[in-house]
Amino acid sequence: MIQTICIDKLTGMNSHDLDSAPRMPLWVKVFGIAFLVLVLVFVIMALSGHGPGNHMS
Amino acid sequence: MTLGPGLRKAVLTTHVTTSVGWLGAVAAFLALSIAGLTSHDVQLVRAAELGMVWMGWSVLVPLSLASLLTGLLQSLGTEWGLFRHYWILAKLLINVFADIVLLLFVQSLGSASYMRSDAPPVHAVVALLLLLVATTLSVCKPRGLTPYGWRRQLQRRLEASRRRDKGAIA
Repeated sequence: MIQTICIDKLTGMNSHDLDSAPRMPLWVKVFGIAFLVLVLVFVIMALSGHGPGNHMS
Repeated sequence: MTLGPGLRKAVLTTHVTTSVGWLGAVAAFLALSIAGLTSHDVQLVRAAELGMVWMGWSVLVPLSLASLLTGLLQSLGTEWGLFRHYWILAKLLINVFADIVLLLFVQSLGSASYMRSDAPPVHAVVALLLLLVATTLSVCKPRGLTPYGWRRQLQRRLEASRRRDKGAIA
């Protein structure tokens, strides 16, 4: 406890800041889901015969 | 590794130029692919297809790789880092994904089945959207530290305050 208070004074951060990392922003969650969907669509398309190999002749 | 101010500006200028140039080249590629797909003029279709092949290999691929390389240099050579901020991580994912898809499909450019399908304009639209998101992230730099970036920041603040403390005692 004493150590925590010392760190707070040194860094100027409150104990909540020091206990855990900040929460992931909403835009990151939205981006992550959209990006994952895009990658999945690409993989599914490639596996279903619409990939780059299909056009090489 | 930290870049000096002059080199940092040079790398940043190159990164902005190649990234925005890539975006513009994709827009031009989209226009050619739509022209090639919708026109009934055989000569125009052939010219559009030739333009797409040349643009793919001599503009899109070099610009995309240069954008990735300068982005890596810019982030690793400065205090921004590569894994500290979510917006930089998001841009890295976009760039790597777009590069992989481009390098896979650029080999199909010139094949009749690819050029006469609706794949080129669809790919160009997706690439355009991804690059617009990347450009927006670069301009807005939305807040958000990754757990790794947060630990690094905390560590740096602790070190700085310890140095201040030592200086005050001395």
